[in-house]
Amino acid sequence: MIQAVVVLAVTLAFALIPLRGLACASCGSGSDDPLILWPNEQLKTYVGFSTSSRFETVDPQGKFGKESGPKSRDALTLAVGKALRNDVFFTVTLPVQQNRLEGSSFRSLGDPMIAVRWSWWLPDFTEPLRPQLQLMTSYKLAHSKSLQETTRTDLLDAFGTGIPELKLGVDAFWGMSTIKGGLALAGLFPEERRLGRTAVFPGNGLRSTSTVGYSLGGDNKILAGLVREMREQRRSDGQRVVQSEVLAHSIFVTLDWSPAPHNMIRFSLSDKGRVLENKNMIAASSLSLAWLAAWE
Amino acid sequence: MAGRVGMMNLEFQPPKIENRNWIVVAVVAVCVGLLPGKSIASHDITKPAATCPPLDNEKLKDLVDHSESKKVELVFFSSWCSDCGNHLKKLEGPKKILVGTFDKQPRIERLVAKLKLANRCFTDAGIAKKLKVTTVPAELSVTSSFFAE
Repeated sequence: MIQAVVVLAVTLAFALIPLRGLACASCGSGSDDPLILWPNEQLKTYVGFSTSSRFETVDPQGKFGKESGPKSRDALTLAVGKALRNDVFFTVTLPVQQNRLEGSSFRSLGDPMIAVRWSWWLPDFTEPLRPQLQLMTSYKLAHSKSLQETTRTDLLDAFGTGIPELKLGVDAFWGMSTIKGGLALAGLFPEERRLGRTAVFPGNGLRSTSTVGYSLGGDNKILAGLVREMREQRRSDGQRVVQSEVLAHSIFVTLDWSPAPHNMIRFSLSDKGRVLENKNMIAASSLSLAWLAAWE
Repeated sequence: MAGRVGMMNLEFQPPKIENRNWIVVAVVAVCVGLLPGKSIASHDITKPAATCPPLDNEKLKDLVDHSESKKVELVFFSSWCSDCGNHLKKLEGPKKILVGTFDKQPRIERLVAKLKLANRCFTDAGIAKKLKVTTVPAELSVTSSFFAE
């Protein structure tokens, strides 16, 4: 019984991470990194607003349960990116989130993240089949409360997993033609952490993002993609928790519009947990609107 | 599909990443990235037919001084810029000078050779910044008054 509660709690904690604007996987946006710098950009900012709703639990058998937690979650995400040289940059992302349920709401700073990307291969317009290849690493701090640390019965003050996580991956994007495509693969390595009386290890994971897109001229484009995330069994006090593997699929569509040089408006819709097979996760629907601007 | 996924062994056995270890990994990743000129993008297997030497302030002044009209027209481009390809293909005649910027010299030379352009080409060595070129493709005319400022 206790194990089931722990499994459910940790599952919910992970799944209640708000879906950030799931912009194109690897065009220069990355599904987890909202901000990508091109070689001619030295400083860039991201201001995004997203709202997620229709939260539903998905059990180990893939069945939907009743709605739980907040009715909706809004997030204001701020990010800044700085080039270290024209093929290496880092970004810092900070979400401010608000959970809502009927007449109640609770606001908190989310989990900050720092990311570094190295463009190992740049694309070449004379070789359309040559992708842009980026190596990426990021570290997400555990700042916000997890479900184990929440003090409210309505769970409104739970915003994060409570567990820091390292990500290492590669991102390939074919963007020189009118039809674009991308593939990103990332390993997810959380840390073990004591939550309450229990040492919790959520399980290592693998996330893949596949993208296809179409150029609308200039920097304008539309993209659609599929994100698949798998995690191994969780461990509680060193013991594997049976039937705790996570499988989550989400789909997204993104529209990039550049109204002026160095500026972009990005609109994204995404749905998680309602396509293909899913288990031990929370399904949700999201939309986001963001403004990206390069300053140097 | 459901059965295959349900039977997948999702066991990963990498070592746990502790706080200090992630710092090591991140530092290594950054250090590798900061290795100068080591990306595949800068390596050429074949010798390019085009030569695009660095274009600095002194060289640009020399070009302007030796031009009949005391004016040169520059076309800034980058190999990773898809719009630049269309722009270069539409160039009429060899009059305009190509300047590869936000890019590496071997890539620029290989690209100019592939396009078989008769235009003179250079690799930016600070001129784009002086001319406030921040996006590519970009075309600018430079006269002797630029050097008087």
